[in-house]
Amino acid sequence: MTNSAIHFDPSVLAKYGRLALVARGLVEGFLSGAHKSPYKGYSVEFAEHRQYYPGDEIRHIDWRAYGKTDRYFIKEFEEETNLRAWLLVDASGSMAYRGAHASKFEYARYLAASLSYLMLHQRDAVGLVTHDTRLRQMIKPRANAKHLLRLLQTLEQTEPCGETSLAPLWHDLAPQFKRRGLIVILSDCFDQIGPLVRALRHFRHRRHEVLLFHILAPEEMEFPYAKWTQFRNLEVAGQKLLVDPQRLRKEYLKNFQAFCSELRDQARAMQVDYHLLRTDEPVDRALGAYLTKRQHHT
Amino acid sequence: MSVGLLNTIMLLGLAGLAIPPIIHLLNRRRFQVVDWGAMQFLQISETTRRRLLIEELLLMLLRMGAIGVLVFALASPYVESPALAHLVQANRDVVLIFDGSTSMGLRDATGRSAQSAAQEWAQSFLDELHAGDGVGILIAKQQPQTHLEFTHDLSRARQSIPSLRAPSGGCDWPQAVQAAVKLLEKGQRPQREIILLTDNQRFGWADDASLMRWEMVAAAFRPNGGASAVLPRIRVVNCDPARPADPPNWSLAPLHASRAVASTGQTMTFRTALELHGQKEFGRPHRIRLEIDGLPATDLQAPTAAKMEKGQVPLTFTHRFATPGSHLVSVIVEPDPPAELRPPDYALKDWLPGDNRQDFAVEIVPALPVLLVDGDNRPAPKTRGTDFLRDALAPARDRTPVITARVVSVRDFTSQLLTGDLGKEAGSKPRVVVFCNVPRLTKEQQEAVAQFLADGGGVLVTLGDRVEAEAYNAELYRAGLGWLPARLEEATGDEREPASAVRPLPSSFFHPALDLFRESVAGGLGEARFPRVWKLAPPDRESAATVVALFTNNDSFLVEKPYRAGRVLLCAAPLNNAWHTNLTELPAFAPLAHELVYYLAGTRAAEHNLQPGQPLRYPLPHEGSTEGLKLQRPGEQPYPVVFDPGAQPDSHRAHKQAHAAGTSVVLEGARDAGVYQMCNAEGRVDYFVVQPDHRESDLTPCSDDDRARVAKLVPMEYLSTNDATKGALARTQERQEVWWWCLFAVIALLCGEVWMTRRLVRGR
Repeated sequence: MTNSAIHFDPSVLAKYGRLALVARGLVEGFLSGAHKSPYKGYSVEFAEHRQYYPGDEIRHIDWRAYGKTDRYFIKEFEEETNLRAWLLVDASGSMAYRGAHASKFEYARYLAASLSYLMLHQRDAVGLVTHDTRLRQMIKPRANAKHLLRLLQTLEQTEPCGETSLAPLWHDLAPQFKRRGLIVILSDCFDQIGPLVRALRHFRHRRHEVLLFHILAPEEMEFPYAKWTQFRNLEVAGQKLLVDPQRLRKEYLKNFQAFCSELRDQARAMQVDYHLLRTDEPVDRALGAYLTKRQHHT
Repeated sequence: MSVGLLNTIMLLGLAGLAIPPIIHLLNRRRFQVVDWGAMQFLQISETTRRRLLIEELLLMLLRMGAIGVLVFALASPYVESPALAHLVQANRDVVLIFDGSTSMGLRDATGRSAQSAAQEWAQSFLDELHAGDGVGILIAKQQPQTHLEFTHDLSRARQSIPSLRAPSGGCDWPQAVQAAVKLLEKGQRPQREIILLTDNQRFGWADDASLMRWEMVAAAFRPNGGASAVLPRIRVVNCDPARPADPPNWSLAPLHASRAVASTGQTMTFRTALELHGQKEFGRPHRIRLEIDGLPATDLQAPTAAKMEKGQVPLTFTHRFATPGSHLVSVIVEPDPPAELRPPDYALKDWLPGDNRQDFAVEIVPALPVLLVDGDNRPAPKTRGTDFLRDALAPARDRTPVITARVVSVRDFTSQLLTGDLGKEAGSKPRVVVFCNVPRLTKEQQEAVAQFLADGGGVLVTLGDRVEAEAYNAELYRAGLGWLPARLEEATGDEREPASAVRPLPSSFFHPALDLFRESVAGGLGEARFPRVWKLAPPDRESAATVVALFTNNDSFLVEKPYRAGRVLLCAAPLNNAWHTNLTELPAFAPLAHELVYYLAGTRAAEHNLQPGQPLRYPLPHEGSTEGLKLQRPGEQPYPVVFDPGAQPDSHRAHKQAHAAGTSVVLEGARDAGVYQMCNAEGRVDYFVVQPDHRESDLTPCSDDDRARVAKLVPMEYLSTNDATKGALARTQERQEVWWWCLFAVIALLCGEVWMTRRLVRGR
């Protein structure tokens, strides 16, 4: 089955190009296997029947059940637990890094598309913010099916560039998300750790649930270079650094791991769901993380 | 303590120190480019940057250090320290040089020779050496010979010592020491020693000629002055310390013949002398034997009582050879009777039997071919100027002339006449060409004469009224570069005034060809009158030409010049009756013509009596093949002569040399003194004699001054066989090789480099 191949390997996904198709395949593939997955039991349309009581709206009576049982039952739907979710996709230059696999931004884009599809499939309202240092696009949350197309078009048209300075922008965004909701951040978080944590705290302060997908390339985590290498900054044009990676590896990994640990610890401390995603891992791990969070939310 | 290097040339490898920085720079130039997002984690602190820089520098120094120390190790460093001698037993390279000269055969009262003592000392010395020591053995002769190539197989060295040949000939010690230094270059030990096993004879060690040779090699033995980085320690062991200062010894002076070439039936006179050392009075020798071609011919009559002059008693004898070809004349003196004939209290007159023989190779021809070139170009003249010389050399009435003379006019003189046979019989190519009053020679004729000389021919030029001086000077003398011995100035004197004629000066006749005419006798050469002669310019100092006879007015009469392999004699007067000379009327005329011609013919014959090391040239008779050619060296069996480079053992390697007169077989380096016999397939034997150095019979020992004089030029220590070999060995163990220390250092540096690289790369 082709779909099973698609949703497990982000590199293969990239070949299909059209984000909507990919996202649908990814999510449906994920859901079709739900009876086997640890996330089984979730539904997006129908919740339960209950006995009719006077005052209930007549349009909610399940006439088919009445025909079979000769009693009135009211259908209860999920709409009552609908969620407002914001997808914050980092489109800064550093997200363009491409190692042996898909770039971090491509990975974030597939993930955002998949989450959008999944959320809208569950009748949750989904909004999208793409940004680098500056805000690029901001689409307010909607729950209708046409909204997905707009989200996906926006994601498809977005290319990573510019510098990363996440914290100020997130501070600016926090007041704009007026209703409590779920904020899903897809970023490599390459910024100063202090301001970054303060910005996350700002989201939490406004009682938003925050799901942080920390997307990193394996090369960034392992620094496997051996030959002399000139590193060209993806965010600042003209900034180059010629180093012997073997000599710098230890120092680099120390800095990198310290950053990741600090971010993870701080996130957990403020009850932000932190998930480290490697671009060589399947996207469905992130979908699982989302559904777990969704369950907690309801 | 001092430090030195054995292979300084290896220090060129220090250029390898540049390899690590070059690789570092090349790596920096050949980098990969990566577009990178996580730049913030590449920013390192100044402290870390400094630490990385220091580590990088340290790593590079480690790598450079490893290369540097490795190169140093390859240069074979050594340390000289007496303290080290107690700690480590070091290996050493030794070259033993045996004195191969005749004097080593001198036997003491017990009958033991110095060579036997040297062999015994060498055996015990080899027993003291350790595994890993290197040994080479040389024989010091007039040309040093390698007896054993440099080896670490000590048992092979021990086995080779008894096979040393009996001592003979002379000895060139400085050359032998130089050869030993060269042999030591094959070894790698810092302790290098040359041990000279000699009999303390002054001749060959500290005589004037030897001192001069020591001086020439002394520069190589000065510290930092020689090609070798390590100066070998030279020890001289006197193998006959008990030898008296002047032991009794009889010897023979070198044998000389009146002519090197003669005709069959001609009487040849041979001269030698009995030389007596260590005894004041002449006692009649037991026997003097004459051998011809190695076979006993007769016993020579020894003087019953003779007065010695300067220790010599002259001995002259004659012999007439009946057959043409190469002949060997050997004289052997036996001063003492055989042991069984000696009375009980007999005192030996001769302790050194090795110098009691002298050999001489002579060439006997059926008739000596001589070409007379006359300057008279008239067609068929009734008389010619050369008629006198022709009649003197080959009288018309003589049915068996000793010389075959042919006269041609200069117009008919071609190169074919010099390379073809003169007579009807084969093998009568001209040995001598006489130019009589020739005006000038064409260019082709000049070249033919030059080639004739190059092939060992002899040329006699006599001058007269036809001679064109300008042509002679420009084309034949060529400012000393041509074959004419002297420049012609002008014809002087008046033929009508015999009173003012010049005469040859017998007191100036020291030339072998003029031996007969040295005494003024009636009808002798001294009575010849020359009213008119050519005045010859004295030869330049740089010129090889020499005046061999003068006129009474001290002008040159005869001038000789060796040219290539031949000889040229220039006579300033005509050898006929021109210019009213009375020479042709004198009884001396015919002998003079014969002596000059035989002397010039002997040029080629001199190649049969060689100096040690001189190449042996054997002219192939009648362009004959080399099949079946065998050479017998002194004291050896005959072995075939081969010409291919990969010569098999038990053969003599030679090469062919072609020239206008034919082809010669050339064998390089006839070093052993003695008789060499070349035998062709037809059984014809040609003799070659490598002459021994008769001064070897002078057994005068070195004085302390002599030894000190040589040691001053080339540092050396003097020992004797009375000194213990162990003691000699112990004193040489101060110099230690330290290359293996360097190797440890290299290994340590490499380990350090690996550890540091892993530490840096793997992140500890």
